[in-house]
Amino acid sequence: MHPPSHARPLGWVGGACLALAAALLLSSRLPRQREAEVTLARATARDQGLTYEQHVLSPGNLPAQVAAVGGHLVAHPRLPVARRRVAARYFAVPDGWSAGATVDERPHRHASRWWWSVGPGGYRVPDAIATGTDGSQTLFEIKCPSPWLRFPGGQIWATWMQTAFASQALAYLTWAAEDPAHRRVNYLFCGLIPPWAEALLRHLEAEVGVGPRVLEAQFSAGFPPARRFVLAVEGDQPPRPAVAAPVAPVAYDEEAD
Amino acid sequence: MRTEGLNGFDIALPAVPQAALQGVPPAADLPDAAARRRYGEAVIAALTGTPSWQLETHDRARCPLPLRIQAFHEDWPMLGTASAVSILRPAPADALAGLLPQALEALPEALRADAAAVLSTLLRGELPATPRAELQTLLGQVILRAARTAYEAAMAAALRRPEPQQSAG
Repeated sequence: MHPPSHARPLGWVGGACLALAAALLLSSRLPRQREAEVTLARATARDQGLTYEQHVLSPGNLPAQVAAVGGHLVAHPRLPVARRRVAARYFAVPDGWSAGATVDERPHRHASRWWWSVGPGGYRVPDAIATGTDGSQTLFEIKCPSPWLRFPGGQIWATWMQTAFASQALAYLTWAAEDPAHRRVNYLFCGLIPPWAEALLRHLEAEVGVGPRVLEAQFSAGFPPARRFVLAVEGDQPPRPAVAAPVAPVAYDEEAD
Repeated sequence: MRTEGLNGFDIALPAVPQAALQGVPPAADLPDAAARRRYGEAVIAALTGTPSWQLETHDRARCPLPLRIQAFHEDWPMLGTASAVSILRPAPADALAGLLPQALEALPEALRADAAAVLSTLLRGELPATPRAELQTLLGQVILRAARTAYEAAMAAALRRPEPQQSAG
């Protein structure tokens, strides 16, 4: 038996209303859910970065080694830095660690065209600076990113991540370039250096004329995430969840650093 | 359990625990016979001025991932520049064999008997009793000097690699 003819338009309108309500409900729920997931992941990344920094700077680790060679370590000093800029160059890692980073040639409408060492009147706060018995200084920047991160060109979050990392590195290399005989910059990684970071540091070295020293697996035995990163060998990585993408820049948040 | 290695600020020795900077490390840092022998060999080599390490330097882009992961697990220092990485791995044990008498000669006579006991025990893969303070301090200094030499050699090798180019990427 057919329904009454007047019921048809009502059914159509009702269905449309129901679909609209469902869409509205979904669209309001998904951002909230996504926001919550991102917040959680962001907190985890920030906590991990800070925890690694605390681990390296704990009395038995870096301070003890600096003292062993007669130096003196100061954590989180305020560092005045000359203001300079370089043209931004972004990288992508589409095929993983072994394939390395490639220059991301895509247009970056939402990304900085220039990387600045410091804002007007600003300063930097590196993780630590060691002063040797001869007065020479070594700046330490402590990082714990996953080496296996893959991303194609054109990712906005990847440009944010690289802008934060590169601006900071530019500042430190600019500082070292002012007195290269007595200043150097050490980048300490908990595991392996990611290809994009390696490529950025090479690019900045070519621009500034002074490069960093890169030390991997630093104090990694006492820091479980470093081991987890390296045990999760490239290619065995599970697919990167979409919510994790916006987290990456936070690993290099200047506040956190 | 893997212990913290001697790999850091201007000091680097492969597969030697950081605690070696204070002398014979505690048992927890020398968990098995291989670790004890390795530490003993490093001390003996250091006393004779013989490198207890082998150095290899790679362009980063050409350094194989399995080697990097092995270095991570074996506690072989990986250090260098953004373009090159030097890896320090332990010298083969047979290259360091027979150096014990020469190492003891390098010590003050008053410490030789104790040092001989400690080093022989380590070479057997066993744990020695903690040496007296004077010997402990001396063994720590010996390892520190060797670790600084190794670090400088590794970093110098990496720095000798070609400069990065403007088009690098």
